[in-house]
Amino acid sequence: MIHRIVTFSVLQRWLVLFISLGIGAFGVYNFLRLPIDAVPDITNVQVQINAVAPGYSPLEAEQRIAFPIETELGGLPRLSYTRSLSRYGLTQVTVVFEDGTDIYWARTLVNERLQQVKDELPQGIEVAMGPIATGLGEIYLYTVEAKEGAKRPEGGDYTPVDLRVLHDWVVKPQLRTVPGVVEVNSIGGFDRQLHVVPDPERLTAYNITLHHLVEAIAKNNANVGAGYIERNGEQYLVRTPGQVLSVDDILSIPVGSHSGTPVRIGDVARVEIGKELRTGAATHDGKEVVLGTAVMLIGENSRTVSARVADKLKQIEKSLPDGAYIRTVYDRTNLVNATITTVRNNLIEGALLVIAILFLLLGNIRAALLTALVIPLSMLIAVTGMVEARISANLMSLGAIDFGIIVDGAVIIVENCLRLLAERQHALGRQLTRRERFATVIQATKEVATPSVFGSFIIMVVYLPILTLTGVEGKMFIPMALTVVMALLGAMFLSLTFVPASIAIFITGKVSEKENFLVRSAKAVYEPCLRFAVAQRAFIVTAAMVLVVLCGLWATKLGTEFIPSLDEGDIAVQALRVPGTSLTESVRMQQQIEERLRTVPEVKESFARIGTAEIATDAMPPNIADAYIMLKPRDQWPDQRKSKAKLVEEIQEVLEEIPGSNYELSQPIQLRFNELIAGVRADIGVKVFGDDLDRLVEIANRVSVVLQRVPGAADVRVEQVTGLPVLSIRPDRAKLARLGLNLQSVQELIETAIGGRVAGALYEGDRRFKILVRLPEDRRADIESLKRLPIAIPEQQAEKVVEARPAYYIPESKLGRFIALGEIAEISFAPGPNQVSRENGKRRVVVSANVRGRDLGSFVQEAQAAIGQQVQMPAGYWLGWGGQFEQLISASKRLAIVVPVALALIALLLFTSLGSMKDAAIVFTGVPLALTGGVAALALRDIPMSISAGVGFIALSGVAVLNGLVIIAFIKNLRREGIPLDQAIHDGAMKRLRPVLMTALVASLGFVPMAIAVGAGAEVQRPLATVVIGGIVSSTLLTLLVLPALYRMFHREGDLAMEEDLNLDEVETIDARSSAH
Amino acid sequence: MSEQPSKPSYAGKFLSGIAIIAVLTVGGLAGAYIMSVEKVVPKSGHGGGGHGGDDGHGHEEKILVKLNATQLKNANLTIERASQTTIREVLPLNGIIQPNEERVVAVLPRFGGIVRSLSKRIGETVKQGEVVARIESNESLTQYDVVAPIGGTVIERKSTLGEYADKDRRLMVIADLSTLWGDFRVYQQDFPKLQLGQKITIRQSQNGTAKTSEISYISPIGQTDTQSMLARAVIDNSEGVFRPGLYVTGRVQVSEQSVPVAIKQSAIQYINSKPVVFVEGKEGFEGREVEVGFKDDEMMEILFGVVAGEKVVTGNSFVLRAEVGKGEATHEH
Repeated sequence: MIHRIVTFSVLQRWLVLFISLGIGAFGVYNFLRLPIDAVPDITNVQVQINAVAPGYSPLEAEQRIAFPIETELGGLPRLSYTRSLSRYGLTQVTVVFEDGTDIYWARTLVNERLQQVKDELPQGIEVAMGPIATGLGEIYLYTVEAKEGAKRPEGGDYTPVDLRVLHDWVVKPQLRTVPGVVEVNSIGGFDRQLHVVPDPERLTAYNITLHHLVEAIAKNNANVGAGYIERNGEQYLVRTPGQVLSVDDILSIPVGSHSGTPVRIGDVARVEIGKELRTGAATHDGKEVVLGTAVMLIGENSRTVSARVADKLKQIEKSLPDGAYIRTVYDRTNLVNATITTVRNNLIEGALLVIAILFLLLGNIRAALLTALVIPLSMLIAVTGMVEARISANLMSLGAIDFGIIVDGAVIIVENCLRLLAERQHALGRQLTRRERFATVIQATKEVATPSVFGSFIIMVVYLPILTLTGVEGKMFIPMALTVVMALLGAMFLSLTFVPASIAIFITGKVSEKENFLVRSAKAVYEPCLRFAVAQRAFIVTAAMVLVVLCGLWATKLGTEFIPSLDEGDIAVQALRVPGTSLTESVRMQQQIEERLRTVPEVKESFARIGTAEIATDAMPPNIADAYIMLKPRDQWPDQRKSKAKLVEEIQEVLEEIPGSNYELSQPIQLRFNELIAGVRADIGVKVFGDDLDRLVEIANRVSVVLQRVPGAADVRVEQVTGLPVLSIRPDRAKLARLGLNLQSVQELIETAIGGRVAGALYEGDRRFKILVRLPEDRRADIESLKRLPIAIPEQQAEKVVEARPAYYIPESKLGRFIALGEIAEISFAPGPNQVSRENGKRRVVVSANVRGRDLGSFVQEAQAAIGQQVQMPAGYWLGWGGQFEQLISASKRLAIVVPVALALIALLLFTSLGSMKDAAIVFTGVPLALTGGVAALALRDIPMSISAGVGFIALSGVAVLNGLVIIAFIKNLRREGIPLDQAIHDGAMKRLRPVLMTALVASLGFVPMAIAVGAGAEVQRPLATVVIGGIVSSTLLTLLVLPALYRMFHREGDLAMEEDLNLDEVETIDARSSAH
Repeated sequence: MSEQPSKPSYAGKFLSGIAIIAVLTVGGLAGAYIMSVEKVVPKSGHGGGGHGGDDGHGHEEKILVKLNATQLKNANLTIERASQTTIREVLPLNGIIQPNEERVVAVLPRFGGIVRSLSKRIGETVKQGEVVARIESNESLTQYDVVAPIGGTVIERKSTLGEYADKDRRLMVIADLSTLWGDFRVYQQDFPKLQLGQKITIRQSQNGTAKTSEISYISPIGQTDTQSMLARAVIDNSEGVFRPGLYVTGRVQVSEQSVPVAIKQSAIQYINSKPVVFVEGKEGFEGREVEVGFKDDEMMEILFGVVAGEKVVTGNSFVLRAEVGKGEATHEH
């Protein structure tokens, strides 16, 4: 099979060349279609449902909104779980589907159920699904600001209200039309509203209630169409316009009449441009701003979309009035470009190194060039595969590819071709004819093709365990493994077709038969070592075994880190303040932080989102701020060598200087992922499910006490569910009854007075502003004043009180039949629930804990037993266990099956290619030997063990096996030719020195830039590169010394013939048997 | 390359044996060393929890906030000493202006008869003894003058020229508006605070002129429908600013108390729903639970928890409250 492919490739070399180029061109086309992003998308398939419930407290929101929605969503196909969070004025239900579910299908299902449940929800609740985006969606953030001292065209300074109006009605509508942008979210400033602010005393004077006021506005603000009339053949449309057009219109709306005189709104209230009761704010470098976020549609190319957004914003800026401008504060393009640069550098450096090494060791520039061509070609094949498999290009999937390893197979083939060509030329003493050349190429390729193909397969097989990872780890590493496998497949395919074909075409002329200086000196050093190793094989093998054991021990001492964090270049800080912190205070604290950050020389700017944005993609309370710290390019830092970790530490110190907040530092995309994936981020989460919040907290506290006593427990925390200060105005039913009032009218009044009540809208072109009736600020914020809030008492048909006073006396009832709120309601302060979380339709409180210094499995068992014994669960309450440990345990269970299977597969492959168990085992020893170097390198550089490093070990095992395979196969060939054992070992090893060195150098030098990198993607690359470099050094030494020693140890003169005879005997026996039938 | 590798001699075997033992020994030692090394535990990236400040759950525990110099500067606190102050508690009331009933006089014809002339219109001022009407008596068929019993303003005129004026029907009402009544509605919650003789500042809602008076009457009977009662102050209206029938607001000075320990109300923070103020001490800021007595718009009396002369945080005290509670701050979903 291989023979036929190779022969065909050489004979139809031009065809093969063109097909290869064609595949390359297709790859280029696909490259343009490939979604490029900075980091892999680890978001699960989820649909967010946001319900905005103005004024609802967490408890009401949960009871009236979260519960019906969650109940309705139960039993959806492919549903993984639902969770909900209810906060002030907002409920967010997150529906998570199984991985691999089509998001559009899922949204349709959810939408269908939402339509059914809408009737059950209270009026005035806006329920909407979140944007169709993932954690990578927030690609472009900008602020709308006014220049220092700029004036509005209408006159006056720009206020936060003006900027918000500009954003919502000028910027946003235009930006939403950009292809690939699914949503534009705004936060900061104030939504413009028209406030009708009544004077309560005057209302009582005119005997008008707030309710009347709202009604009057609602009834006097509409345009109505009245059909049409026909007149002399013409048709006239009839309309009665009545919409209010200005503040004056509102002021002149009548609310009632008093002895024939109309009472207008203007008589009892002021109308002013007011501020909404906002739930979020934004700051930038210490100023309050309006922050817009462009959200990218799922599956789009973030680089293209953010470039489009940037272009569009430039256009939009022209349409803004003088003095207002748009400032870009976060642009994903930067990060993506950094990613592309990293990948491009890898490619170019890889190619240059391959060319340099091949040229140095082979002394043939053409051969070096055409081997290097395999790098871009296999890369393009991988790109085509990625597009088909819907894998995005990012630091993870592309950043970790070592092209040195990928071209190993091709290197071996090129080297062998050159060697044979040179030998043939030398033997014949002339240049080869075309026929001879082709024959030599075919033969040379065939000679090493089998081991090289098997080697590539083995490298692919070792990636197999990675493909079984699930969850976040899976989403991070599977694309990477798939990309590597596709690149390997491409390279393997190319090394059998393109490589021999192009050698046949381009390596004409004289091939220098003399080994150059480098190879000669390497051989001179190697030969005595080899002799010693074979002679003192017992010592060498023992030493190797000791080394393996030592490194095995050492490996257990390495720190571990499950998922590496990819450096995004910028820093995100979540500032957490005590629950109940007001938005104003939070903004003030944030501004102070930003002012302080400006003095850090590496910081370019910083901005923050505080509380919840217009579209609640992240339901944050006002006491939490997501701050982004944008760094200057490294060349502008005072100390360019400063590591990111050091800077993060310094920033943390700077932040600690400002009291009042806790800080959690991460990175923008990472932060977003955390928010979206949520769930329990600690090792272990004990979820207490039940009905009564107080009971839940009580049980959770008991669970946390028990957990703390289990050895190994650390950071035990109970979810903070209470602590939000609540002002309760509790009407006294008896008093209400006596006065003939009903509860609802009182509650409505309180709602209108404090929260405000929307009475309609004022239209200005497309823009619409809510008209809101609300008490003046000084009255609604003052408790004493609230107690005096007048409440109208309904007219009682009671006995006519005989008026004993003279007629001129103004009856006291003219003071209005009003009663003060404080008379009929009890006003009290008490902490209430901060948030109510639910999971799968039940309230829950989570106790989370990390485990230090012992394995998770046993900890969980012990904790479960302890809690089962010591915590009594009342009826209707139960516990659930979750957290990272589920992942870890299921991953280790799966790996416990998959790793042996993979190893068995490798053994099988080795056996198939070598035809001998013994030889397969000898080659296999290369794996542990290779790992020793990797472990040592990690330990020396103080890098923890991680999946990244694990991937390095995987690649390493492949390379080790590949080299071993080639050497052993060669020795076997020599022995088959009748060369005695010792001689065969010696010759084989000497002949394979050059290719082994070449592959080792190509693979390890290719990784040197990555190992010392500090730029984007360095976190993933550094452990991987470190492992591979260390491992290849050890594996090369060991392949060259231990392998021959081992081979000599387990083989006697002439056993090869015996083995093969045996095989032949078997074949003959079978033949005999079959013919006997 | 025809040279055969020589067979190892016995001496060679011995040597290699020693070498193997040496390797094993070195390996064993190295292994022992490795095992003795502490495992590297990577730093947990997620909120280590090692932050200053109490977790705010302990009820008996002392609340102490320590700030270093930079933090203190950034906290921007205002610190004032608790001291003796006068606290004036004020009760706001809504009311209506009435004519002073004691200065209102009805003008009645002495004898019934026909109204022949009416010289004063409504709203006109009259002097005492001034003729306001002439009536032709039915009994004597002679005309007689009706004069104003007091000086004041005509606030009601019920008769028309030529009509029959009955002797028990009033012709007009003259009120002396130089003093007026302010009738205020007092709700039950405020009953205990109100006393006769308390000073009240009255302001007509529209224009801002204020008049000071005192509570001169508190009605002994309550109003059934609004569950309130009436308090009255006599207002000096010599400038004629106040008009009967208009609404006014009054602010009654309920108490004027000299208290030994008082601080600004902005010092109060609530921790576990208990009022706490922060007192600067040597170690840091101590959160002390306090009991509050009298209050006015700005100040409050501290009955318990702070002694006079102690330095109390009165501005930006929320920062300290936030430091105390920041351990509670989490962001879960």
